[in-house]
Amino acid sequence: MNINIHSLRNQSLLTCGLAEEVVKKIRAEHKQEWLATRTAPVSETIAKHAKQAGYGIGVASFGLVSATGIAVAGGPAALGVTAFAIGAAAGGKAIYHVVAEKIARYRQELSANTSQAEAYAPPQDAELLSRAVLMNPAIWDEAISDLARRQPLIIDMPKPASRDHIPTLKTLAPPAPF
Amino acid sequence: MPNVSTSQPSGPLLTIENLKLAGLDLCRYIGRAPSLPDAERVELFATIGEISYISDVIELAISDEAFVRDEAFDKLILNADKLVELSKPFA
Repeated sequence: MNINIHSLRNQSLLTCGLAEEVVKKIRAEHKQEWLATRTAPVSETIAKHAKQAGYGIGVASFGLVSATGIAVAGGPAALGVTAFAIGAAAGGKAIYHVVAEKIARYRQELSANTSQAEAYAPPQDAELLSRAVLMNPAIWDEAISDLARRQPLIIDMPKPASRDHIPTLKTLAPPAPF
Repeated sequence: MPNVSTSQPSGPLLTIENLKLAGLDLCRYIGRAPSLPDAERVELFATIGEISYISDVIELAISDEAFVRDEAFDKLILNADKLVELSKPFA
């Protein structure tokens, strides 16, 4: 390949680490307000982009760029990365949107147990990330079923998710039921 | 405040816009390359996820009126701009 993905990757990881440091300095109240205003329409947004997925991955995935950002804002960057890695391994088109939506929902479930104004404690971050990663084995059938109910025509001969491309999967403890 | 000027060729708002366009370019690149090896596709999607996170953090910071820009923030902008530059070959 004549394009250097690895240089891009390294710069992205470096910048992501800097972002994680900056986000710690932002007021919790502001995070709460920001999330509240941006998460409200997330389901509608993802549904809209799921429809657009039938017309091209570029348009569809651009929607996910925002959707995943909403899901992980204030949380670990690794969560957003995992969403994309799962989607990429799954190999479908609109699957990315469904994965992002589910992660957003799990995040909201966790938030219900604590104040959104509080930063996530490391165990919460770890749980959220492990949920996202552990979705990989089960996510395919469930997500495809969801998608089929919404837009049966946009599923483009999906293949089963490969688990080999999720490096963190093997390093995690066995899944807890959720 | 030291080194503030080093990170301001574009400004945070333009950096956010450029990051989102870079994410779109990477998405389009993946769309144009169906035979891309899985490992490289995962790498690109991971990068898109990170770009999403980075742009949200910058937006979150500059929309907080109490947020005090410091050297760490300027370093973030500087490196985000570098990230945009490295994504241009994929456009």
